[in-house]
Amino acid sequence: MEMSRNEMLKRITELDFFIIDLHLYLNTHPDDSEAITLYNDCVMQVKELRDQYNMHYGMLLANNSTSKQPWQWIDNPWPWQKNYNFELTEGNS
Amino acid sequence: METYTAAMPDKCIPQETVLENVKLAQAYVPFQFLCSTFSPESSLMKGTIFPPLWDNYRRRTEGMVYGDE
Amino acid sequence: MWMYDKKLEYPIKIKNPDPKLAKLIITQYGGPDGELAASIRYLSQRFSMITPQAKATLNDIGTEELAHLEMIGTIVRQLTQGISTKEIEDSSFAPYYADHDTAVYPVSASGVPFNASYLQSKGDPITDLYEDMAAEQKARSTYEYLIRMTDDPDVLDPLKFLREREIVHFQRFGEALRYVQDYLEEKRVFSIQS
Repeated sequence: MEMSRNEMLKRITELDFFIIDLHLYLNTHPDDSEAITLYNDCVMQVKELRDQYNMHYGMLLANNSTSKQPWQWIDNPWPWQKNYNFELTEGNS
Repeated sequence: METYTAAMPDKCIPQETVLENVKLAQAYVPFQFLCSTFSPESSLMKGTIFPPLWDNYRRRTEGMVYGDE
Repeated sequence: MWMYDKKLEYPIKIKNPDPKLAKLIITQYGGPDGELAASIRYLSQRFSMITPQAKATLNDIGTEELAHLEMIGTIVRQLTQGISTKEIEDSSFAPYYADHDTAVYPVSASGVPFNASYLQSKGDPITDLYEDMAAEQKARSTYEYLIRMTDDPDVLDPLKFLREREIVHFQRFGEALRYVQDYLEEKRVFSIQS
């Protein structure tokens, strides 16, 4: 993957959000088979991206990511720190 | 890839339009249905993947504070 | 149970500190219509909820609200970093600063500490779902009030995101209510017949 850490995190954040909104929809529309197919496709996509991120940049999911030496989970920055976050190209406010 | 569109987009109505057997002293919210989605990038900026649920909020800025007299 | 995903639901990167704004935004952390109240409300109500659709809705919206709580805490923290103590002391943030420095503590905009009377978990599934729908509207209104009190796009963008989430949550609770209404109606009709 040629993607920078920020670009990869941006893609994961976007896909994860897509999944979250679709998931809430599915909770009240359990029989929507198109939606389930779309959901599964997104999950497969984001799993791939997360594996790449884990390999190159660090751990994302507690207890579901692997670590290099020494233990990476504790690494700075944490998500509430400014330099953890990427720029979302914003439009008008 | 993920900008989803239904098989027959022009025929897809993204919500219930008729409610039946409604009772007194109850409130009803019509069901939303999936017809299309925004792209993941657009969805994150907007706060939802579903176009009919997106309220494009324009903030109200200056103005006097008046009641409704 | 919960696992932690080491990222924010929506990115927050605030360039300009603003303690006066932090004092207002903190109300969505510890205030009556904020994300902590929402999380505890939904995650508590789920234990007595009926129908799988409504249980899942409470469980998962409650979980998402924790992610929103994290965002608000992040916004408050970033708004009070990189600024001189004099500027903080001269701002409306000073009373909070006296007790908490620039730590994040659950209070409302007027400094009232969080308390459980902001939420209800009544047990009656219809009652609880109406409470949840009202809560989402209150949260939406609060975000609108906060949005009109700043011009900073770094703050406006996450606030507008959070406002839109309240609208979507309202729709989902409304749909969950339909399932509960139908279930109870069916049970009522059934027991009348037998």
